Amino acid sequence: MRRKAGSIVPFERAVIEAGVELHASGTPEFHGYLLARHIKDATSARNLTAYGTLYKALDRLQNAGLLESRWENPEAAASDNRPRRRLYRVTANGHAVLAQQMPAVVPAPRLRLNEEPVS
Amino acid sequence: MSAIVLSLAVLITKAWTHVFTLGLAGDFGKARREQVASDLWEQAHDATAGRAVAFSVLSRLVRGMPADIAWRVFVAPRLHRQRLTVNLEEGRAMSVQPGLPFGVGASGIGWAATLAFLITPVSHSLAYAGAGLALIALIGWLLEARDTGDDAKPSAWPPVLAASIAAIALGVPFDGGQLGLALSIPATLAFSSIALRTLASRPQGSIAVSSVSPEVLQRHALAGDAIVLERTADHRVSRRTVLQGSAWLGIGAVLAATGGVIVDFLWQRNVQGFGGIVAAGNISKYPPGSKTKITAGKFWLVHLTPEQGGPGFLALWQKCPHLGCTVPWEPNFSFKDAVTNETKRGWFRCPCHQSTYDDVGVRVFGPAPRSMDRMALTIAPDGEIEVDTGTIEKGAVDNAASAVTMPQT
Repeated sequence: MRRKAGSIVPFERAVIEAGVELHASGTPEFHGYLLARHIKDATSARNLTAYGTLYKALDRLQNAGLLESRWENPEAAASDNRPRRRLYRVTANGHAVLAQQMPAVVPAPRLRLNEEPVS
Repeated sequence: MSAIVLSLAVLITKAWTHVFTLGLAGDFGKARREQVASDLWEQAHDATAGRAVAFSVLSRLVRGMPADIAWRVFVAPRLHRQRLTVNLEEGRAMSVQPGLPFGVGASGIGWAATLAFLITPVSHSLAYAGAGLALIALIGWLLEARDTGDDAKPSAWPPVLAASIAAIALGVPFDGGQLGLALSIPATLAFSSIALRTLASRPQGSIAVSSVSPEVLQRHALAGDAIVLERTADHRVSRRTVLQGSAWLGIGAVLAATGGVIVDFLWQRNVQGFGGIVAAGNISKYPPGSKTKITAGKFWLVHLTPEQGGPGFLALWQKCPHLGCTVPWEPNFSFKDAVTNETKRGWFRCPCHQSTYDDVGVRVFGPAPRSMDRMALTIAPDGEIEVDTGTIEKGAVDNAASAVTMPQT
């Protein structure tokens, strides 16, 4: 997909927003599932984001320099007896892009029948 | 129960992730598999996740599949298109060609299939050849992500895939052994040319290798050889191309399906059994005087002795001309022939109304309106008997005159 440089699609924006919110709530680094759950709660979506959509968006955002990531320490994962997490963090650039694109896009008010448009 | 369903959902998701990251260059596939595995673990162990975790996992998998497929087809090939060359010494180089084993393997399979179709004409071989080609084309397309050759041209695999699917559609109604050759020979030539082109695309005079391990690279680097890693020109597939392509593909598929159905309906099936030609085997199987019921053709194969009105063979339809009961041969039934006034054993005798027929099927007693009906019988020079069960002649007193003997050579 070709797009204007520096622009992000709504879903990528939701990812960055969720990342920033997680940062504000004291979780500067987050893994994929945590992010999916946060996006679901924040956007009151019915389902968790699909694997195919989520991880490819994370890749794109990382390539664009809005996110950075690292594999967590293998010992930490082994002590919890779970697969190691890929931890993401919103970069300064990511914060800046989000701030630049504020305010959030507000959906246009829907017109009902028999209702005059507000001039 | 729900634990089993969850494990199954996790397994399916992991399997899909494996499939769509198969054969990608570098550690990309491994990283993605680990990410998904971690995600699955976290969701399964999330106390706040709610009850229908398995459903949620499958839903996340299915909704993400189109993105996975689109990414694999359109993005992955150009992400990993790079050429690795190791300059060994003056004028010599080692070029890494990961696509080469596949090209050579596909050519080998193609030549083997061609040979097989030549030796034994397999029924529906066109469909088999098409299915094999479709599989190879699909693998080739997926493996192109690993291709490091300098190839700025569009991929050759999608047309091969489309052609082989068309071959499957054609091959199902067309039942023939030679048609597979018509596909396998040009396809094999194409595979061979792809392999040769891959080989030829390496820098001049360089040695082609399919892969090179980091240890080997390290050794060459330490020995002072230059290692060149260059990205080759990526070819982008525009949205317009994709839309136009899929539109034409859709129209083609509809036309091919319509045509295939029409051809399938009009195609005459190989008629066997009653109503068609029934092979009864060699005359040596039937001694003179024998009466053998050929169930597949619904007739009695009668080998007449000279005393019975022969010599020769007759095919008598087992259906009684009276009301259609199946007439058996009763070898122990004794009856007096009203014409000759002789009593003998062995008659065709209908169990329904006692219509009685002699060795050649001529009616001697009963309500039947005529003698047993005959089917057209031919004996080939090698003694093989064939009976056309679709050509039935009404029985008459001169049934014996229709007896067929071995052709004189």
